[in-house]
Amino acid sequence: MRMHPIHAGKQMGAGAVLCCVVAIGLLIVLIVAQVSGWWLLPMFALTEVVVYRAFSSNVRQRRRDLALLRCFGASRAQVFNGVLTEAAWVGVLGALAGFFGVLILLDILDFNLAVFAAVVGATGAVLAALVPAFRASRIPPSGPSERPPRRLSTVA
Amino acid sequence: MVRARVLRGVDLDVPAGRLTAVVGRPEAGKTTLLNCVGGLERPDRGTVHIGADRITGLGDSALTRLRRDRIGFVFATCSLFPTLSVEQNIRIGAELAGRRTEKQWFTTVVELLGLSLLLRTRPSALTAEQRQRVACARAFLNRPDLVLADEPAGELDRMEAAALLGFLRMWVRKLGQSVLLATRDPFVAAHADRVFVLAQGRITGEVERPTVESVMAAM
Repeated sequence: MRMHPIHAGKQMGAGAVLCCVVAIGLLIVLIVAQVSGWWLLPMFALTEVVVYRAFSSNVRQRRRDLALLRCFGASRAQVFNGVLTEAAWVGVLGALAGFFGVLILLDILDFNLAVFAAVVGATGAVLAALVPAFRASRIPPSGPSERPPRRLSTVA
Repeated sequence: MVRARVLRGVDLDVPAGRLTAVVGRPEAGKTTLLNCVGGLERPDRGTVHIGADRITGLGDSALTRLRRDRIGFVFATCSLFPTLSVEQNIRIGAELAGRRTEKQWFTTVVELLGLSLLLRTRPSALTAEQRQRVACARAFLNRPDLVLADEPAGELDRMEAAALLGFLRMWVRKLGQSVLLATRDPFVAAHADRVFVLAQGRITGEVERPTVESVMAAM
């Protein structure tokens, strides 16, 4: 598959993607297992936080690339949609993980409920990425002159 | 927020179809000037026109379209996306605009810049000079009204710089491309048709048909 240039730049680390996918998968398993709301709500909140953190740190790391993309003519909407698309992919991966989790961990598979859960998981991922995507779209266009923050060096 | 006045009363005409250079010491305001012309920064006062169109006061989306369709950018370094191939890097403007580039024109640009064999390569495998040629190809591909080159030879040695500027000159001569180049190096500036000297945010000199000596004298 050819990547649209809006996704150019530093990719999300495998670790961050894995965390998001596991969190979404767990949420889906819990929904299908029909645990009580007292378990579901914190799990949903946790998933949102994990995805939010992953995307905001990714957007921070890609600041320069995104500013460059804006410089070459990417619109705010394109940047916004670009981040949301990535979140949607993470959501889909999470949904797949959830399906497998359900198949492996639970005996009974209520297909409709599983689909509903997958939709909740994937939508949750997109929702959590809304704020980072908005922030990304507000990055002003610039050339590469904006230097990345220098690492603190510890000199004895 | 600390605000510094970078440019004061700069009055500059960049003629179409020529290579114009702005030369000045670091911090003279060259990059700010180019950013204002290219719609990357908005000047607090004054106006910028491209052709007959006034670009100061345009909104964000109009400026985005302007940068996408009418301006080409070449920067000193690191302006290629490492995750994209050379070809994707060159086509990025057209892709963002959702446009197809004519095959013929793409081939012409790539061949003139000697990049035909490198299209599938990643930027990390290229030399600094090749990377700058890719940046030039990207800037030229859209046939922009104006190419802004901010220290395009900043990371190159003299030989490489001369070769790159040769390409820029050829483009200006053969295809009537307008180029505005900013540099601190009189050697680079001497390749232009006309040189403006920028010092502390003001134009302090102008050299027609420059040589290294005349540029240095004007600085």
